[in-house]
Amino acid sequence: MPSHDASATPGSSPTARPPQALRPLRPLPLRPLSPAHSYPRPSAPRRWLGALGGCLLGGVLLVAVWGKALDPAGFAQQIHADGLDRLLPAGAVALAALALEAGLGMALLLGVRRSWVLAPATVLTACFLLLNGRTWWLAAHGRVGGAAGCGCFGNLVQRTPAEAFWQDLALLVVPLALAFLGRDRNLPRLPPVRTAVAAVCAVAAPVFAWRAPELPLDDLATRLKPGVTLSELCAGGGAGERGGGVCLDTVAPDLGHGNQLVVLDDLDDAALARAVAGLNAYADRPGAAVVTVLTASDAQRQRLFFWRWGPSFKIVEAPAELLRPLYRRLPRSFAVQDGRVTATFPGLPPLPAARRNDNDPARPQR
Amino acid sequence: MNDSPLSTRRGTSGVALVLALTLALTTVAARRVPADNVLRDFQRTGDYVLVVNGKAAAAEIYQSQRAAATLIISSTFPSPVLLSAGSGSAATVNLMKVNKKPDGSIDLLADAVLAPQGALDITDEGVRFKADGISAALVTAPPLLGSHRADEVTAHNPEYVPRAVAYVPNPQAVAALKREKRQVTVRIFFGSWCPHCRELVPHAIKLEQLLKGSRIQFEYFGLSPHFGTESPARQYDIKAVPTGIVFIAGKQVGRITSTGWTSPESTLVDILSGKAPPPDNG
Repeated sequence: MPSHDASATPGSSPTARPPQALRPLRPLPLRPLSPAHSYPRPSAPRRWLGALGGCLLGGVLLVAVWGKALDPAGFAQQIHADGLDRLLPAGAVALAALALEAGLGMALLLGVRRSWVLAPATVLTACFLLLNGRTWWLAAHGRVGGAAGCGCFGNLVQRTPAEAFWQDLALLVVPLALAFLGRDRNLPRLPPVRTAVAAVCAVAAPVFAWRAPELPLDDLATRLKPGVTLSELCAGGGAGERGGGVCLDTVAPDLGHGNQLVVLDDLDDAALARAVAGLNAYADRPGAAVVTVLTASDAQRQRLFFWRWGPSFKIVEAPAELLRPLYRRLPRSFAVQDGRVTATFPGLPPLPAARRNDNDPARPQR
Repeated sequence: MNDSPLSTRRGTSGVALVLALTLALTTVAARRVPADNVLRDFQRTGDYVLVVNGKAAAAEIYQSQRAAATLIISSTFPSPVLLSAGSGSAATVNLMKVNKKPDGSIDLLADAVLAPQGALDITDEGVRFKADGISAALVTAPPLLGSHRADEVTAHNPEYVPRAVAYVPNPQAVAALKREKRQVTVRIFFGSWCPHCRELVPHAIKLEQLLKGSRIQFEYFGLSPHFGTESPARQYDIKAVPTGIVFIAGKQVGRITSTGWTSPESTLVDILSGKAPPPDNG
């Protein structure tokens, strides 16, 4: 009978079910996390090359994360411009991308070169190349301006679309290819400490990006910082270029002389409208710096602003591609002495009291 | 070719007006009354056209950044009209209190009395106002289109004149250009509406004045704000204004673009001597 159990205890009641026999445990059909050397170990040069490639790729991804996390709004604008916000808002896509890039970057930097890291890193690299290749193609065919932003490195690096493509090819594809070399499959798939560090990094990057606009990091995150000259602030090409690019000293040549106080803002900003009286009073003071508002607002909005608010300072229009790398949030202000930036201020400039000159924000630095 | 309607409104009446004003204002200047501390430094502007009864009217329009105000001198009104931005009001001022300076700019004298004329009506197109019982409007000037001489350009954009006067070109480069033996044409594509052209085209105008009598000729070609899709810009592959294309015997040999405009005479010397890179897209 199938109910008969040979292991039943002698002398027990004939009506009681006999206890089940304990069968020996069978192993699950999975590869062990730390197998004993079941794969041949790659040669040392291949391992070193692969580790170097992984570290390089990880470093590049983390530097890119840093640049983008400092100015998440700029990164979100880039995502929107690239049409990558069809399913989710650009801000959410930006934070998710930062988390992925930071996690992968840290894992690679720590030498984790398993398929769960390299496969998404390959997809990410392909995406970067596709986006930059598309921007380059569009620029080459006159569909977008040559000075259109290339956001892979945030605002830390200024590149033309062609430069962006070739730099990404060199900085991402070569290390990625190397990272596939000399992978030791005998090592654990999920090394606990390194995986945990990568996970923490993946969480920390979007959290940092979320709070970054509140932090006083404008000088670090943008090209506008004390010491730079106006001829170094360019879009669409390097400083001092002959063609294609636009630099601030060309757009606003008057800023190259004397003592200047410059406000970067949108003319629709109500805060700027409220500040007109104060800026007018400052501009009218003898010996005060020349006040200029740099804006990407078009001519019609400039005229409306003039008639509505009566600014007695100069308003200069500049291409949005030139101004965007100079700020994280508007308004932002800076002082210029003979074409060189001497100070920057978040928001509108701290104007001195009417009769005092001690705290003049545009006072020449000694 | 002159597609601008402005050419029609700068007729004989405008000339007569300017002569009369010059006489009157010179008399005022001779009185040596100090200028008002705020209502000064009015410079000619080509940003606006005066429209009365739906038609463009001859007028000299001045704007003072310092005063945030616009001064209109026109035979349409018995007195100059001052439009104050910010306060949004119109006022008239006695012509005898208008002091025209040798550089063409205007100050109002300190004892000038402003007669209030009412509030401004600010619209997207410009500003409407009433002065001495006459309704008028300042509207955005249409762009200057097509090929023009320098004097036509400065007539449309009088604000170019003081900038051209102020620009000091590199004398060595100018001397080198005067020695040029080949027939050179510099065709400058610009936008009368373009703020950067306001800064840079006057450099070319000054250079042209200094090179008068040489074998280097200048042409000015006005483009519309939407030039990227229009045939003149597409034909010459103009991607930004101002762009100067340099021709020798009809053949394009170089372009003045971007930072090249900071010192167009030096850029031109480089192009003509073959030191500049090949023509780019500007």
